[in-house]
Amino acid sequence: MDERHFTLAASVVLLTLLASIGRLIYILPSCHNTFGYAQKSTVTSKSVLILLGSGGHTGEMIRILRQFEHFDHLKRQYAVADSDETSLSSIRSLEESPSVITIPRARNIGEGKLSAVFRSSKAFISTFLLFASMKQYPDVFLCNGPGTAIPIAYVLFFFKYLGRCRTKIIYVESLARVNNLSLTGKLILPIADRVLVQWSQLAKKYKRCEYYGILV
Amino acid sequence: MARQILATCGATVCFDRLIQYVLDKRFFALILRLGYDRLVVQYGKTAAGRELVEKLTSEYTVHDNVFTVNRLEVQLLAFDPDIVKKYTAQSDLVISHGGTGSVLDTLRCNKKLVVLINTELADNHQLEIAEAFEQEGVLEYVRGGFSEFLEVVERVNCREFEPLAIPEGKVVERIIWS
Repeated sequence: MDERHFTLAASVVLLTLLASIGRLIYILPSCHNTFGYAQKSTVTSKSVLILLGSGGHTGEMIRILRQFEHFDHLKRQYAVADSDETSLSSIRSLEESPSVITIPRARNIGEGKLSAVFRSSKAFISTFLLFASMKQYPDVFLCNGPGTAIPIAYVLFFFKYLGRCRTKIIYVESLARVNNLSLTGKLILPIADRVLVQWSQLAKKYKRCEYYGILV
Repeated sequence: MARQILATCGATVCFDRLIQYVLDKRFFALILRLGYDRLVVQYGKTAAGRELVEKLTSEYTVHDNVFTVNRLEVQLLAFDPDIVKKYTAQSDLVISHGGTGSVLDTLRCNKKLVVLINTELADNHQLEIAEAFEQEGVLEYVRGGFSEFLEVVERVNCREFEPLAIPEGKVVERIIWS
């Protein structure tokens, strides 16, 4: 390869790299400030994908949803881990025939590290395939603590990066987290549009965490 | 009017230490002295929990999950999905593990709460949340063993708590729409 060709190839690679980084900075919520909230919105309909993680996480999510004043104005869909019957029955206490998508579990409690890695990759791949075949993406992904939030959030973020969707990721940290974010919280922080915490200590400690009082 | 205590382990696993404490004769004597006449013990859905309860109550005549010691009526309960409405709301004092679900259920009913931290569970935040809530003045948690447990119950019986602030979940709805 002569020098001219090399310079050309290098420039193309460099430009592509710069463009991808530029796109990433443009899309990364952690590079922008998005605090506060509107009292009223002109938008008439929003679709929300709500994650019902398991046990305590589902419990907290239901407590939050129960307080919504215009719950019916939202087009709701729930993401539930396979084998999680309890979450399914708790959502039925809120609405009769919920629209549910089933996702594979990221990690079971007490599992070995290696099999956790294997399982997580599997969860990522199947979540990716599930969302790649989706025709319409939700306007908002609302999630809290469990590990299953991570593959969904990152897959959605990846599609956002590609320009396939504009889903806003809202993460609510568990009430049980007083002094430190959970692992899920730490992992989701850079790509979540909003991170809500329930103890003021956390909002002081981590940039971009918002505190409005206990939410549940 | 009947005065009731609810002791609760939560839906899933049994919390052995809590069950042992609240089915102890010395605990029965204390709460009788404090003027309670009913105790509900919710021990969870596991077979191990049931076995423990049966072992601890073997000396009493249990009929339909209920037995009486002096004037104290004790009801044994595996789990009830309507526990809040049927039991928490009807109680004057709740003794609970430190899980957020049970703690919130009790505080949202404005009931006095004594928390016993389940240290048997790995990677849990029961101590963290109990400490934080105690600082808010909404509950008390037991730091030591059985004798301190009795002391805390006696103290909480004649103590008033701050109500837990109203939840701000509507903020989440506003953020969705913004």
